[in-house]
Amino acid sequence: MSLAGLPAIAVSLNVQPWLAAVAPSPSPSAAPATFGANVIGFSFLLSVLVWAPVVMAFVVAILPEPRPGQGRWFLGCAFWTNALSLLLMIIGYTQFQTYTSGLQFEENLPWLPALGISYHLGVDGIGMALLLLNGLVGLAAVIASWDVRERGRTYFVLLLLTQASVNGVVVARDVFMLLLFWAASAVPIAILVAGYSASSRRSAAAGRLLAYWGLGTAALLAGILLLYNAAGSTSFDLDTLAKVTPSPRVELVIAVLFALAAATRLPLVPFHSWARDVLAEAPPGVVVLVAGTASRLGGYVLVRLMAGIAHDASRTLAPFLGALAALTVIYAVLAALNTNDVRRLAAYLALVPGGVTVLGVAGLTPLSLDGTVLLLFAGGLAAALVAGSAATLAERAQARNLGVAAGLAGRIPKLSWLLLLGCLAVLGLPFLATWLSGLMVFLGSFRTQPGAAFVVAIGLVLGAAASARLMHRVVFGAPNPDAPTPSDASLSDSWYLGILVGALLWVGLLPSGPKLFGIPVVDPGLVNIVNTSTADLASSYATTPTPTPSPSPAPSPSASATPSVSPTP
Amino acid sequence: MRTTVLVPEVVVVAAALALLLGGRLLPRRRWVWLRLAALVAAVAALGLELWLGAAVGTLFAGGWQQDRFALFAKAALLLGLIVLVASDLEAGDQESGWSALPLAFLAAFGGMVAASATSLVGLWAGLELAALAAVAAAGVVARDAGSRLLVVSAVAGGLVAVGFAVLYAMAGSASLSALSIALRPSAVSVPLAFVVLLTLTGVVVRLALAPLQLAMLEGGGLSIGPLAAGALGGLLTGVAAVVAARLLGGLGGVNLTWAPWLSVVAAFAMVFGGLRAATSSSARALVAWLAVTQVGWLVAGLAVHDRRGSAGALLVLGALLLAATAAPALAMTAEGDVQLAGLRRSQPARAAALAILLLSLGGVPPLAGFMGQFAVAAELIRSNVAWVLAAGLLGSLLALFGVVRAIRQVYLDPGPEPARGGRARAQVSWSPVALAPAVLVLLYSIFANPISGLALQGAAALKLP
Repeated sequence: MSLAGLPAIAVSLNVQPWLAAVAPSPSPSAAPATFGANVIGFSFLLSVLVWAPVVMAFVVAILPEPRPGQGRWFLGCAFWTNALSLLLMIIGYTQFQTYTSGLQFEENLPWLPALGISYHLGVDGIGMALLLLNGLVGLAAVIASWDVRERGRTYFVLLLLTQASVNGVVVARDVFMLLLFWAASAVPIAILVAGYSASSRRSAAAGRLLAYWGLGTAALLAGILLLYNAAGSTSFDLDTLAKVTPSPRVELVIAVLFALAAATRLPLVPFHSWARDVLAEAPPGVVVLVAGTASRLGGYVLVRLMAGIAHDASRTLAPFLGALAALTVIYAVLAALNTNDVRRLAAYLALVPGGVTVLGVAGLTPLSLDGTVLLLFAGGLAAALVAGSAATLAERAQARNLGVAAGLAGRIPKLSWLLLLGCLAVLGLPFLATWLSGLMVFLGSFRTQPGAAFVVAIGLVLGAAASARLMHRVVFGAPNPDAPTPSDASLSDSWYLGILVGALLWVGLLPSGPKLFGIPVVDPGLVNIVNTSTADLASSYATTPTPTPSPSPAPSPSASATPSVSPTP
Repeated sequence: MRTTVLVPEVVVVAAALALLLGGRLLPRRRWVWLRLAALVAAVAALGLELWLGAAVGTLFAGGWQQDRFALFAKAALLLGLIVLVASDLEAGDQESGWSALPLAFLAAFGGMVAASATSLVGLWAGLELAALAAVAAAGVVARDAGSRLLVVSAVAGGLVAVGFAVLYAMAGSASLSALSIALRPSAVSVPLAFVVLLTLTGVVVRLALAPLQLAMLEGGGLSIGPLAAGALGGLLTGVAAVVAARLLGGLGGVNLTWAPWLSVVAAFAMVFGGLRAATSSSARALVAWLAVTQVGWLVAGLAVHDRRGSAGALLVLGALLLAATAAPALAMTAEGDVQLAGLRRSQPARAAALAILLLSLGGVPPLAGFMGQFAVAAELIRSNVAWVLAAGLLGSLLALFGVVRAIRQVYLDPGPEPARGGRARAQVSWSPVALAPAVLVLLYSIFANPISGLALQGAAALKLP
């Protein structure tokens, strides 16, 4: 990515020097390899990441019933599976070759050649970022489930299956496999919501989730089949399908279907009611998993399939997507301002990163797409943090009404501050990963979608008001003497929320990774990992200067490149 | 072609006769050995079919043909028979189920006859044999149910018989190949239209009404036992599907005229089945309605009327036979409906197997049912009948609600309080036999590549465009 394309607004905001430090160097050769890179080679890394949780789920399912007092066996299995998976992901992340376009850790085997289906796995920068997010959130979800004792076997089997399917969506390079994993994630999550939520609304929540996700799956299937048909019914491989040029009408239909699938999962208004219910009713572990990773898959499909394949249709749909993003953010913050339930409030706030993500896709500029992918990562962490901390706080305070769970800062300081941090992370607190990614989205999309970006910015201001209200009542307000005695975060709560906060801070403070004498150490930098892939993606949307006949012999290029508006986000 | 290709059929018929005789001659306590022998015979028949049935050719002056379609259909039917016998072992219905076992073998034999038929006579004989055997299997368990089924079966059989007879009269031959030549698309007239409609209605009634009937019976409180339910909802449905595929292949280009009608039937079955599955409270009824949904997908694949569509339908057929024959036995006990709540604790193997079969019937990836449905869906889009796909997706979505509810009951609802102490531990049933159908469903998904290849070859043997 080059900074040449940054709008003048970046200059006016005086953030260009900072962005220059964040943005990767333009030349691949100029970037030194990460210290220790390419030391370890993997042949089946991605298969291990997808299938190891499935194998462990099977093992957990058939383990003999533990004796009383050994109820943590299942938790231990899930924890170590996730810990080792995360370790493998981190190793894969450090070994990832930045500035190299194309797939890495690729596996390609024929599966159903008659239908053009292959077992094709691989990650580029976008996939690597999402994979790392899955690893972090997966581990956090298991730790958040530390207190699940009753029916623990089924719970952790379903949790592991969900994680496997989410990993599968991210690494699949064959859209049949992508669809397979996408659809497969719905059933375990629905059962988790239906079986482990404490409230009486759990069946309704699971039903809504199934209905919306089923609708999204149907839309995704239809879009994929239309694309497959346009490709001559020969292959489901993403690389092959990306080269297909269907008729404009069909391409538009395909893009609409992909957008619908994404909207049900991310979710966007008006397909959001499942998220409100699930995030407000499910246990913390499920909330973290759904808000952190499962819902981010919607954004992934939007970037990977809609923006990555249907270029012309994406341009056509961009204003509508921008409007949907604005509607989602505005609705979410207004609803958050209007509720007295701390979990519902957090659930609404958790919708905000999804809206901003879609704004980035609607922007269709290199910077906004870069920011979108980063925001998929950061937004997932932030949404998981705010929804998870609210769920835990409500559990520990034994109350979820703002009037009852009031003035908790002095009594449960850890959870109060973590909730505050979650709210601020959603809104893009400086030096957290969401700030950097949100800034990139706004700077990138103001040029092409000024109206939507402006409304989303207004929404974030209102979101700040909603967060302030939450803080004023729950954290800093006068304690309610009639409320039950709260207890602060347990060690496991602190750890799982700490993992999310730590990742947000790490990427926010060191987006390009730590360097020692100019050489990246351990972490090649998420921005660098993501950049090449998003640059490839954005190259399809690069505006070619149209030669306009002008009496002036030498028109100034800077004048035409500079937008006339300079709104402040 | 050598007559050794008929050995699997001989094994199936001999097993049926031996089971009938053995049931009479052996004391009841030895029946378990007969059941095991039945399982061995079914497995042997499948092995022999896969080995000997690979040969392609005709017998009896062209009256019997062994092609890739016959191989696929027979293998699928025998696989269905195996899971039926295995799940009967698990169900342990010692009394009533016994007499149904030989009849299930006869139903499978009827399907094998239809799969190799080259004429309307062979198709009719195979279909009616299977139908009679399945209905009789239900009748020996519950007479009321049997008599109700018999009436419907007679109506469907009559429609098919009259349709076949008039088709024979119009074409001048009962041979399917002669039929495809005589009934060109240009020759579609009102009498022919009426006849084909009649015939297809009969076949569709056989195809969809079997599980439909099963669902109605279960809803009405008439239990026909696990074996008969599997034979009726699984095997007979499979045989009707085989007849439909063969017949549609024989009708040649005329089929295109009927594609919209078949599509409507398919869409109706998918949506209605899904809707009823979402609202059914009994496990057996859920299984039956899910099977109706799958039948809808199968008919949708056949309605596309080309090789790939029919191949997709054959893939659905295999998955349907595996799940729909075994699931009723797992969803019921000798006393009636299995208690889903707490099943995970009392019978973990049965719980796991039932969950996998329900998921497969519901078309949840990556199980066998999904593979077939996806292949059909791809062809529906290619053939520009997206509305059928939309109906199918709606049906599958609705069905998913029923499946998730049942699985939630199995795994999360507490069920009856287990007794304390060592006796409670001893009551847990961990029968590996129950897992056999589920393992086969998983293997069907894993080996989808060779299976789909065989299905494509089978569809090619139907000489579709």
